[in-house]
Amino acid sequence: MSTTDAVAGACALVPPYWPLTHFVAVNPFVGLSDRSFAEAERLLDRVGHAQLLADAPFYLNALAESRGDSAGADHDLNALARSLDAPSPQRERLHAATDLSDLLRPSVPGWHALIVDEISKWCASYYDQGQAAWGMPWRDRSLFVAWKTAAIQDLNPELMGLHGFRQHVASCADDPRQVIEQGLAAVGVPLAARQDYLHRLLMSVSGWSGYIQHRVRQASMNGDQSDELVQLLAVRFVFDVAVHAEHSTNRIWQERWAAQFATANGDAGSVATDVEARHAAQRTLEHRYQHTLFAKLTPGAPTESVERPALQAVFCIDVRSEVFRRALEAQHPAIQTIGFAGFFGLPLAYRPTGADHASARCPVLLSPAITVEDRSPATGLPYWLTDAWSAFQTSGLSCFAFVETTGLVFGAALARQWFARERDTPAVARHAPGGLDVHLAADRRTGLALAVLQNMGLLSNFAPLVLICGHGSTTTNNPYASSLACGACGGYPGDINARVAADLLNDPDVRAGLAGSGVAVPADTRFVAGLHDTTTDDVMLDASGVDAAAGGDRDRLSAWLQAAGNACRRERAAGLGLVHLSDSALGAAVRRRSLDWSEVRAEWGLAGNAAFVAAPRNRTRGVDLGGRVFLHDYDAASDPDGARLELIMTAPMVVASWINLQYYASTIDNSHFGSGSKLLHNVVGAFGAWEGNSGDLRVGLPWQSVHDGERLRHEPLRLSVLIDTMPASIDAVLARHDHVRQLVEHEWIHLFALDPTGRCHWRRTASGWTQVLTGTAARHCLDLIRDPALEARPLLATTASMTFASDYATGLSGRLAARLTRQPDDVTVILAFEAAG
Amino acid sequence: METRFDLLVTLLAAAAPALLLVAGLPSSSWMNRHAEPAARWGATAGVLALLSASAAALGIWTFGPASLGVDIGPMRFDVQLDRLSATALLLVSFLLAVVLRFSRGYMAGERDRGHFTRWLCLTGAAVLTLVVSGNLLQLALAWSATSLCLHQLLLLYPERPGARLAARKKFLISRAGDVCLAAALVLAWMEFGTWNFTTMFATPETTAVSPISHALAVILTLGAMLKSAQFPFHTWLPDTMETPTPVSALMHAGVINAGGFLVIRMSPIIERSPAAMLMLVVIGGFTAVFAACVMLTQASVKRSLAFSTVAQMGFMMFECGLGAFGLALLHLVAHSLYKAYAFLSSGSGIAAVRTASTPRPSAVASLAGATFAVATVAVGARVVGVNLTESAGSFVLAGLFTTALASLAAGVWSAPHPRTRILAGALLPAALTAGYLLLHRLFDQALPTSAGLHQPVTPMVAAGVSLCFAALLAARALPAPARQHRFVGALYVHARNGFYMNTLANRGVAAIWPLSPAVAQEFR
Repeated sequence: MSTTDAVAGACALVPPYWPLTHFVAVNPFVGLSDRSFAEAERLLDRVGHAQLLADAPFYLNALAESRGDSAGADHDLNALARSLDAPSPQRERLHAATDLSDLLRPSVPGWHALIVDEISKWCASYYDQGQAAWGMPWRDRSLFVAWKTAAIQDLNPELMGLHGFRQHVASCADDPRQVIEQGLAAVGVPLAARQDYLHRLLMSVSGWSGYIQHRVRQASMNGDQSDELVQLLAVRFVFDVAVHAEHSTNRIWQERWAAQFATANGDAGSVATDVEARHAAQRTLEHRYQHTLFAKLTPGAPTESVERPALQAVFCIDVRSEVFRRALEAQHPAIQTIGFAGFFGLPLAYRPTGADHASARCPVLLSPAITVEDRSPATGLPYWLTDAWSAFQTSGLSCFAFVETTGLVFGAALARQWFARERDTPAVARHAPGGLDVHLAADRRTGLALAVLQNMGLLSNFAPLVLICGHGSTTTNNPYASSLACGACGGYPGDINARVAADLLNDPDVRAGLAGSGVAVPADTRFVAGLHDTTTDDVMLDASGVDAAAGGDRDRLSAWLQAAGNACRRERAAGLGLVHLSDSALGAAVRRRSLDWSEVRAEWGLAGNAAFVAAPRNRTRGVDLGGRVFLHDYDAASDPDGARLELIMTAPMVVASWINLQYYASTIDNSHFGSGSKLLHNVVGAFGAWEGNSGDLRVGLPWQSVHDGERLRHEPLRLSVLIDTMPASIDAVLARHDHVRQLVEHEWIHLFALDPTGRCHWRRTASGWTQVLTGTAARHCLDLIRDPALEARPLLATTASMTFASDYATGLSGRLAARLTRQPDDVTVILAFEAAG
Repeated sequence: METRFDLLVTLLAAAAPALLLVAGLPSSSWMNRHAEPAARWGATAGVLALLSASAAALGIWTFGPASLGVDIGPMRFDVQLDRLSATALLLVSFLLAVVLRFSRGYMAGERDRGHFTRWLCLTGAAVLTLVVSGNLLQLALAWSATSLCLHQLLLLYPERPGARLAARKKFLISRAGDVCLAAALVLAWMEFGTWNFTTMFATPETTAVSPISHALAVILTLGAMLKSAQFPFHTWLPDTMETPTPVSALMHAGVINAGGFLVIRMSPIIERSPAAMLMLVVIGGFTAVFAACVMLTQASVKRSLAFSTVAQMGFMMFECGLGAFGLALLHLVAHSLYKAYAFLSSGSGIAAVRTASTPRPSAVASLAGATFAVATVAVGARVVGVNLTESAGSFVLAGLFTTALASLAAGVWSAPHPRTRILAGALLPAALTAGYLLLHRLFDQALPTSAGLHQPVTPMVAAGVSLCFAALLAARALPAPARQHRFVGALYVHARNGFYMNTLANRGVAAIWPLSPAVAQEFR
């Protein structure tokens, strides 16, 4: 492998991380999805020193909780527990020079920590978006050259004991690739180990690597090439070369250094037994969840209601919408809700009043195509005044005068925070009518509106009121606020997309155009935009839409939304420790929480997410899914060519898996994939966070977002995807999209197809489809397996990998997938078994 | 002679630390087991302490000073309340109430939440005892107790090596401060035969200042410098972000300024010593300029705030050195409130949508700003009745204030919005001037009339300090190409590193009191 390939290969493994200005959930393993889960686990442990599976005690606890509710399977659980209890063998890890120094001669703080601080210091200054009044002067140069310019003057590394560092930096070329090439020769890394070694270097500053990967990704979406990540790699490399040189005379050190490259890359194929056991336990937990989920779904063919609904409400697929949709539907049988990605099919770029650039309001997999400018009058102080004021506050000289003249005012500000009152804004209008300037050619409007309706599956039987409801959240003093906003809107609230969609669909010209395309929207149908505040479960409606609606409809809508909000808050109250409150007190309490500047867990966000269901709402209507399921409406009957299925599987499903794996990783190994404790967060460069004094840029979710101090609020389960269609349709999509197929075949998600009868499910694994039985059918099947006479059957003996160690019906394991080929009138004719996965 | 008023007011004042002491008495493990009620009780104790402190402060500001002494064995427990201690008492109890209330929600679910509440209450009790102390021994003991209690809070996450390193740095510097105060106790006893402040300060102004009194002033000043993070003893402060935000808020707003409080409290002794005053001017002024320069380059909000604290503490000491004790007290109070707010709200620092930015002030705008600021301050001082030219010191301070005002006016007047900006550029500085001068007057009244023995700063020192501050202004006004200039660039790199003081201090501490890797490993 050439150095260029090794560099490219190592960089490709780094996931992109979005800044906190618009935090978007990221699959931290996105670069590894072409490997099996087990291979990725091995690589992350060896090179990243990070964990992809929880430790054995976690699984032992989780499995112990299930004992009793799965009678008959205890001996299988015991077997699993025994293998989990087995001591885990020490696994070889790959070390950078800094790691090896810390390992052989431990000191506090170690070399690794010191060097991460050094890199973090200059990266923070280079990418600073407005924290420092005196910014880094060389930001017009490339990262590597800017760093080099600073580093040849920076005495800090030498004061820490890195001899001759400035001279070493000065002798480096300006071309990062050349630096890496020379460095590899200097530290003597064999060809075969180069990619892993470079990957190790990037993983040792994984936060900055991820942030820069995001910048590289943005550049390439704009058609530019950026090698900033290679530049960061070169910076990191210069330090490793310097540390390596410090040990040039230490024979033991040098021997260990050379030895790790000789042994480390040989055992990629073997999987340690303890890892296998933990992976089996992980699967068991997931299967148990799948089992309960499948049992809840309504079987039978979907029934189409012919009556005209009183209200149709479109919500984001976000798991928090599931609770609200259920609560809203419970208000009246004629309320219909629809799940669709919260950008409502409109890839917008939105520019707020007075802002100098627009932000993308669409899933990060898309590029914005429509620009929206806000023309509503600016609120707040004019920028020239705030600019001058902030200069007065932060400049070296006037900061003293600032304190003496205005310091006392902050006493009042402190007191005001103390008495923060809840806003009184449930279900009321929030925007002035109009004010959005949509740059969209007239001839494209109808086509876009049609696509939006088609994708929502909303083509006939329109209600008089159609609520298009985006979501956002209200939290105070929370650097991670955008992680609670709408991922489908690029980490922003969904109100702008909802308003544009409603305006578009209310436009008489568009309506006429739609009628021409065969979609007749009744004249009395009114689209209303809304915003669901997921912290308070209030829904704010857009004034222009509400005012135009008939009075009776409007009042009914408000009443329903308020009642649904109450029910929703009631359901979430347990998780917030507010169960004992009355409805109105509960409403006040959550609104106060949303404004409380000391609240680190204002809401639970998407914690608990575990499944993605693409099916008609009839399958799930009235079923309590516990706010853990992404719900996307999909009716296979109206999608004969599979175009909508393809869209769902390549966009919302992938996004849901990103969110799911973000939560999974932040829970399993928060120190590598999460951002640590909110109590220590130190906002850096106005776009990211350090934990404490310094250290790497922290990425992923804070510990407080997945843990309540006593127990995990997010159960780390890989996403179970259930699609209500035939396996063949799904295969057609997988065949066209390798990255989606890899997610499935490498166990990053579990994919199921729903049998049309709704009674059994097909599971897609690397080896194809197997049928999964639930309920009585499964129990019947189990009896057959357990029948000693059956074991002797020649048919079964033909399957060599057959194992009876666990069974499906108790929810213990799906590794043993039952393939049941049914004859018309006989359910148990042939049984064949194969070990899946 | 103690009256009923004395008794009432001093008891109210003493109730504040007593309430917090009681709240912090149970053991950490008990508090951890009852973390939620403990946090609630802590917050309630904070509010009650604030109420009783408010009543006491109101009484003192309205009816004049009060004091009470109680003999406990060989020790005498003195509560002395004048406008200075009443102001500090009100300030600190307000901050404690805010921080305890904030922590109630913020620390929910933390492993050592009860332990945290406990030491937060005890730290608060120690600071409140410090500010109402009527004698030097009590003050010294309360000060030492504050530092030891704070040490527990800095070690809330002992598994974090950074936390332990910073705590050790702080511990060593605080103990050096304790040595200074111990020496001061000895000297005070030799000179006055008492530690009671009233008696100590009652020395007739006409008597010549003895060498012991000089030494006392210098050693007290040194102790204050050590404890309030003055250069070069500041290096622990920016490294204490390894502890939860409310601790930073309390430390930066309620504890660190005790150095300033000590200097103001002991001003009758310190201002009689030219050496001590010069020390305050030079070290305070240097610390202010040095730390402000470092602050400008920091890319993280908490580190930036920490260097800002160091700079503001330096400026406060600088004001003391110039004899402007009233202004220094204003600075102490105003900075505390500002910094508590800034820390507690530091989670809000994610960049909002960027708007167009204002161009650099033009020469015309700068000149207009300067003229306007000078006129405003001069007229304002005449109207409000503050004499800004009575000494070289107050002239220097007025000059710095006027310069800041001028840069604000020039900034506003450079915006491309002609009509409103002219009005805003005039009204804003005028309002600030009015506020500044009125507060100046108010806080001057907090202190007993000065002995009038200010040692005037020499014009040389005043000019030198003014030049340094002017350089700070220039740093901001430099155009981009000039910032890339070799020397400016090098200055930037060194400032970004805090001029390496932290690295040197860390290595020093590691050499004399190394952290054991084994322990660090174990926690990891």
